[in-house]
Amino acid sequence: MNPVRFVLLFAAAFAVALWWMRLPEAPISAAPKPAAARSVEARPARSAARDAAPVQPPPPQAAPAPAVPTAPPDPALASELRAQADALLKEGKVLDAIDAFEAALKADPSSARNHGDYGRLLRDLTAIDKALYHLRRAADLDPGNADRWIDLANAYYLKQDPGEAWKAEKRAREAEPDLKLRRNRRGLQERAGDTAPAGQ
Amino acid sequence: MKSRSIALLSALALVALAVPAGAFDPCPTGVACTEYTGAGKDGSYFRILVPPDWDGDLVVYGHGFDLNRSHIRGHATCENRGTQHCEADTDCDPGVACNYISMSGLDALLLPMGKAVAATTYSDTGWAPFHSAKNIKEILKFAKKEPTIGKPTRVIVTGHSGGGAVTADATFKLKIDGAVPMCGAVAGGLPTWDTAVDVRLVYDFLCDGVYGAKFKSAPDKGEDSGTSETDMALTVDRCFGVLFPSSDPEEAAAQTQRLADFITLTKFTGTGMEVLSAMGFATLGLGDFVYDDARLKGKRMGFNADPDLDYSAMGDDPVLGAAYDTGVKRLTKGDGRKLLTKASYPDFTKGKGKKVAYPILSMAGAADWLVIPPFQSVYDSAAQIGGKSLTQTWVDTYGHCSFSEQETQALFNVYFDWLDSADYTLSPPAPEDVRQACLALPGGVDGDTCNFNSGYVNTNLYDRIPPRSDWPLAALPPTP
Repeated sequence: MNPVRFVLLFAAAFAVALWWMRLPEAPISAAPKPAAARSVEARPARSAARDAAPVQPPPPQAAPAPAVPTAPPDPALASELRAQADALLKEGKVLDAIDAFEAALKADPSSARNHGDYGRLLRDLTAIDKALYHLRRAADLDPGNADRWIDLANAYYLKQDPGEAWKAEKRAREAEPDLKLRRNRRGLQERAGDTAPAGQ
Repeated sequence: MKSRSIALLSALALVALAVPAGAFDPCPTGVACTEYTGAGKDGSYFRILVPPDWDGDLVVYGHGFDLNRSHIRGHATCENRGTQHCEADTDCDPGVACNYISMSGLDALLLPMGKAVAATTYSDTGWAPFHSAKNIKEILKFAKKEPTIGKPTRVIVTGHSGGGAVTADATFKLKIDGAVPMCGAVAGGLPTWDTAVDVRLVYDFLCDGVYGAKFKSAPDKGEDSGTSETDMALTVDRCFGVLFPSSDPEEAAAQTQRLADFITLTKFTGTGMEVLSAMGFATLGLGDFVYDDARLKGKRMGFNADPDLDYSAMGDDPVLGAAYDTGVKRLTKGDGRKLLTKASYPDFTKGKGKKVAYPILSMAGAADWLVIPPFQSVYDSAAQIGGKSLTQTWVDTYGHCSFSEQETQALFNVYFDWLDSADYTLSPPAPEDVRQACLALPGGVDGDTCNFNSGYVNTNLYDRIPPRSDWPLAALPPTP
């Protein structure tokens, strides 16, 4: 290939790539490494950082999420919808119960109980990623409740990610220093002294 | 045209590598490190943490089986929005998670030991050994080219579950310096997925006649992407009633009996709840790679006919076993089997496997209901046949990969001592050594955080399901 054409082509490709990435900074030279690496001094990290609120706003290259008009939270409606979901589950109407949980979360996105109950249902339905999302939200919203962290730890065990489960277990112990855990027949953590293993 | 594509790809790769990491807290609490994130040219993404006092060892971690394609993206990006940066789920749209390339706690354990740790997303969902060796190579290529990292002195591959399969596969395909499979699906592509198909065949035998419980897919192709996890779980639940037993007492009793028969035939060690997950692997997990154009290209992988395999000895009930042998669906040898052979084939007598000159330390669950202990016997036998140094440890824990921090720390402490020894063949650690190392750790408590079982004796896969003639030698019964 003609070297001039190659250079032009490379420059065009680079420009396209920059536009695609929407980088905030000047074009990167042929030495991209310093930008890719980030040195971090030893410091107390946010525990369970994944579950905590962000410390810094996203950098400017991020395209903002589209603004969705939201109704003000309605905890009473959410509570009613959760009760409906529970009743539907007792009747075995699982898909309807899922709809009711989704509606309850729409009515009150900040309800730890709704996120937690829904997350446990999704976990049992083997929808682990969705379960993890809701169990993380539940733990975020109710960080002083050890059971939220135990639920989260167990979902991580089911995800075959014990390391993240250990972090959630630590948060459970921080929330409740006297907490004693034991493994049940499913390999999941439960409060020592509980008689019925989770999910049985 | 070809060179244009290459130019564009190179530019994209450069820029991708230059994206500021900025995700979460990159280093574990109280540990200094430098974080690198990047994308391979093969479609995988990775993350590397290097401690300031790096001793030159790089531990590459492979995550477990994951069917979620939205996880194959950069670290700290929203799972539905290209490269949008995030540090927590709340930075993304409602209901959308912030992607996190997990090292499953190995960063906290190994960085203080001076080891660098890397993790890959792989380029494939589900059964990753089709391309995982290339995915690992992308990390190594990046490290070598990156002046602030450089070529590692030693590369050690590890991983949980499906990441254990990736680890085993790396020992056959890559020039590495160490391997630590954990709860690994290390039996190779054919034995592993024949086991899954046999689980599905038992299900079909018991449940095809139950209203709403029959799967549409062929048992050796699995479900396509149109079936969700919830669809699958509810289908299985109609047969077994583990989530919501039938309100009709007669049908509820029939559900209980079918579940009992399923457990008898498969010797399944999990609870009813885990049957749902196991069936997820046998249907969704199988379909994920069978229908993938880059993997099995829609080709079947079953093989239990011509000649018909004898299932009469399956399970613990001879009468049920005989009935099953008569009624099981028969599948001629599928065209996909040759392709699946390439996605991990335990054989240390040829290729890179033959050249393995490092020790392998493995940890597995003695009561693992998913990656069953007989899978380990295939890899262990392959190592024995090839004259390789492998120590197999067992942990008495229910569940799959439910290891404690202390068990994992002990495993790596013992492994690096072994790897660093002047002649690793002279003094291989015994499982009891790993148990003692666990008990010596802060918080190491026998029967609680340390559950190593030094006396566990494994069984063979060929005693669990009928062996197939194209299995690796290590998986086959000894010839008389």
